[in-house]
Amino acid sequence: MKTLTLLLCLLCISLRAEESRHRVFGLSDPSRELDLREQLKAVPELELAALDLETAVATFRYDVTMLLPDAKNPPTAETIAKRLDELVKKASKNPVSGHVTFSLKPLSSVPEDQLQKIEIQLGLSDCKGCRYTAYLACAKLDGVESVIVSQASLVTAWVQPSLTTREALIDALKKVRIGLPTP
Amino acid sequence: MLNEAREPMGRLAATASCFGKCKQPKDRTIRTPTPLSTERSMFMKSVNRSLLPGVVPVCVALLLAAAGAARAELPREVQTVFQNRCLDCHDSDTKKGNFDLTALRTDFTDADTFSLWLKVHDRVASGDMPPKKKARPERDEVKVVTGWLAESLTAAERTRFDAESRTGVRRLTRAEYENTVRDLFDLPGLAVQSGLPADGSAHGFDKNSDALDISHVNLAKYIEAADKTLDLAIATRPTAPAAAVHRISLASNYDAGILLMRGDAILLRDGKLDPVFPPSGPSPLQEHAGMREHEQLGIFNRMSSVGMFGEHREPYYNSAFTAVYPGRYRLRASFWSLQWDKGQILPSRGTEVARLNVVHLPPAARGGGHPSELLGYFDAPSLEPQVHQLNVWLNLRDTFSFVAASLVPVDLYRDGAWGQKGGTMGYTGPCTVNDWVEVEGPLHDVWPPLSHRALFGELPITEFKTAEQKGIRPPVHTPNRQEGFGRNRPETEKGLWTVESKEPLADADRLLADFLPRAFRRPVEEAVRKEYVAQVETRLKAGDAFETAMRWAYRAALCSPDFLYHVEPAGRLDDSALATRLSYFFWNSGPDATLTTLAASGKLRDSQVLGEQVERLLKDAKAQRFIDDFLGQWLKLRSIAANDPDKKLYPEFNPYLQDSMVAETRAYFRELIEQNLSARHLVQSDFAMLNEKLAVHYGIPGVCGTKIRRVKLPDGCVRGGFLTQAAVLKVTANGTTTSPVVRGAFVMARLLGKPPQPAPPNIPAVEPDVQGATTIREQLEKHRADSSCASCHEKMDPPGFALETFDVIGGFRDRYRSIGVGDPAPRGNIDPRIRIGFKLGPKVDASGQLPDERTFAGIADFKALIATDERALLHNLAKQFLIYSTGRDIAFSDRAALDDIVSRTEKRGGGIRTLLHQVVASPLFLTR
Repeated sequence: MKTLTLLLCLLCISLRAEESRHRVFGLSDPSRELDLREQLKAVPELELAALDLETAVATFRYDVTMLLPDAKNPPTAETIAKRLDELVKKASKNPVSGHVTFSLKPLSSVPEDQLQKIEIQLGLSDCKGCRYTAYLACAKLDGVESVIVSQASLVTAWVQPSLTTREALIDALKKVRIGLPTP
Repeated sequence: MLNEAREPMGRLAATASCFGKCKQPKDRTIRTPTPLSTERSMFMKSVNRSLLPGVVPVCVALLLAAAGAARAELPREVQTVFQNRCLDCHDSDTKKGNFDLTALRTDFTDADTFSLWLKVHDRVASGDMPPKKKARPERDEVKVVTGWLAESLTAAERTRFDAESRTGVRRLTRAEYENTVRDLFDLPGLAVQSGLPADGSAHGFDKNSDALDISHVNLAKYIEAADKTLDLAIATRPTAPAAAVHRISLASNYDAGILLMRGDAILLRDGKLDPVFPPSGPSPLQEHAGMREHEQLGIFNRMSSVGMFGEHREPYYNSAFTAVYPGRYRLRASFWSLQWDKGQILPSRGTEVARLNVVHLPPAARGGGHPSELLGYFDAPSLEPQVHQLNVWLNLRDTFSFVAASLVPVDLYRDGAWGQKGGTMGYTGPCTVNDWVEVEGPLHDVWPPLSHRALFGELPITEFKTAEQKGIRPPVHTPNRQEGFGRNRPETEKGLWTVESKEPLADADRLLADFLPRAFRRPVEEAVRKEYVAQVETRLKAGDAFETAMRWAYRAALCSPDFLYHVEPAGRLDDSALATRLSYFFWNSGPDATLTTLAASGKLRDSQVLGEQVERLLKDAKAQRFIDDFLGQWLKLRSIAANDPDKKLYPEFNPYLQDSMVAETRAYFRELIEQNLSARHLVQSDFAMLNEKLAVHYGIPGVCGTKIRRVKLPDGCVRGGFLTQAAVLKVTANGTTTSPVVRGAFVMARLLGKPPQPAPPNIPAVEPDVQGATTIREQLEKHRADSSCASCHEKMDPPGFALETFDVIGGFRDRYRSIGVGDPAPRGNIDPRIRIGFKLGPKVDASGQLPDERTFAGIADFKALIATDERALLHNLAKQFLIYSTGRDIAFSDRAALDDIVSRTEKRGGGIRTLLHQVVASPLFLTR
């Protein structure tokens, strides 16, 4: 019954679908895409149409009338973004700990050619939690537009060089007790 | 003597007068602005009723006795003996031992004089005086002195006891109070004891009337305790809360998270490593980072198993479960063990041991280190989970904690201040795993529960609607809520529910007619009951609801002397007093329905019925309270945790060993009673009660698991009997060193019944040499060479020398451990993961000579020597049982009856269970 409802929703969405792109906060490593997709199954109002892991930009597809059924006027983009953020947070809320691990942010206003790519090789074990720690340490810094940590613990960050540097990222990692291998 | 008779009355009067000054109790009922005159008037009435009728004749008789006790001259023949045998040393000039016999009056009614003459009698009768180096008196001479003294002392005592009873007025001890309310209300886990002021101790026990004073502080605490009891007992809802099942994982709690992150624990699933949390290390870069982040991703909330590598401070389960409803619960837990070898899971070295505690969290609890109580030790077999089940009682805010009890404390083996060096991939060693703990409850067989029915019978619980109850104040109830961090939540409760009565005064009378005799442990006159009913009526007229009004009456009852005191008539105990004395002896609590019924029918006086009841009480599980309470005081087991052994000298010591020690002594005593073994077994036996931990500690092979069981000792083993049990050896040491004087005095006083004289004032203690240059024995030799010290030390030291065979934690030694000079120490039975920091110092010399010049080479010889005098052992144990059960010391005039108890026991085989029967059947037990 649940599957049928989902299919119907998707059908409705696809018939009257709108799309928008948002940055996803919480995509710490590639395995987190599976977590996101799994958690979004509980949100029939929207569909994850596409996802760029390196930039953490996701395309969501939805029917606005299902998304905001009580809206009297056509909702603004901000209203839709806020509603999508609420749904993603709710879906990612851990039922036991109550922590929220995914949320949505606006797309970066900085042109891509003005962003600098920084790669830092860490020596972490294959631990999702440790990768999440490294991710959060970097992602919370000003000027970090996106960051992801590979299973081989390579940190790849896109930053505004005027706001942050490689050294700042390394310092942030050290603060959470993540060290770098000696060359 | 007169003051002694006045004293209890004075105390009670002072108690009553302070009622008006006592702080108002924290009462959940709405108070009308009336002082506590209810309790005060009820209290004074109770005092007048139960105690005053005896006071006036007491005073008159004592005055007459004092007037009649003339300064009688010593009989001529006694004077002759003293002149010939004593006055050389004990006249007014010489006064050896500071004792002048010529100054001693013959007024035996004076307590000090009595005590001195008693000492003279005992020293002459035992042959201690005259001293050995003097010519021995003739037998007739001894008879003259002891005969005259026995007659005089007995006559003086009889006069005193004719006027007042042997046993003084005594209140319930803290333990008795708690057990009594627990049994009265069927609340086995009610915790009120710790809220009451500590009891004193007299003649070795807290049940003695000399130890049990009372003050306004006691009374204020009794009021609090009564309120706490009534809050728990009274049902405030129409149906029982549903029994919920919570299966909880240690991993989801903060403490365990820290251990996992540090590499001191691993996460497992279905017997293998949990793939979402790989082992850390060996590189420091591969240590886990960000505990909060791991929690946020829910890595620790997947019901995974936790394997711990060492004994850490107890991690709690409080994030998952903290009790909301006080009550009975069923607890199940799954444990197993493995050997971890740098990432590999292998079969463990044997069955490891897990410990569960119940932790009593205070309101707004933070951090750890909160009071906890042992729930039990559980086997954790190799690679195969074993599920254990037990029934527990939980109070509000109680949770659990887990300890890998058989593993080494982490600070004794680990390299690395923060976490295991090399992480979990750098570690090889044993690991104890907890899969889960499951809590089911609260469990109720009936609703309302028995505690409520004890107060309100079958009266219905209905909803209190203020609109329909005009002019009546609703009872104030505290709603159930989660006061800790636990994820378990109470049910939603709607409405205010309380007991309903259509005929409140009639119901009050009926309910109190049922309750008061059980609480007061004797029939209650109608006039007394009517006083309580009158108080209910007063509260009802003041606008209280029925429940509130009845609470006033019940609280007054629980604070009255009729409840708080052992009410025993002078002379032969009546049936109720006998039932009560019997019950407090073996159950440390009030009599049950069977005893009460037998008392009411007068059948308890029948010796056969009395014997049957002794058997019934001993066979009941509640008899464990007697074993715990009696041993706790007689052998000082209550002091087991008074000091912690030095970690450098005794690194192998841990709480599991300590708990096992206590369990051994208790199980051993129970075995002596159950098998009716002779008094010889107090000091010598061919078996011990051991678990694996103790067996390893004692060097006895072939014992596995946590359970204490009877083990036949190998030939030549020095263990067997109380003297060689680790608990006794620990309580007689100070955590660093042993002292033959302390241990010797303990043996003399507690086992042989010959307590040594206290040391003279201003004698400095001998400081032991922990550096290992000289032994305590060598240091004592100088002390013992002094003739003024020798007379006591020649009796006291020999048992202590024999016990030098054992260290401060009861381990066998033939050399002293030292932290200074010495030879490298072999590991022996110490866990291979514990670093050894001590050395072996001088050899132990456990030989000695008894005062009667019999010698012994070591502990085995010593035990054999004292075991030959079974009568002395039995005699002392009988005395201890009597002091404990009657609440008074053995008077001089009681000695004949005590001897009779021992003789009758010996004629019936000499067993300790038989001794208990003979104690109960004796006039000393049957009279006040």
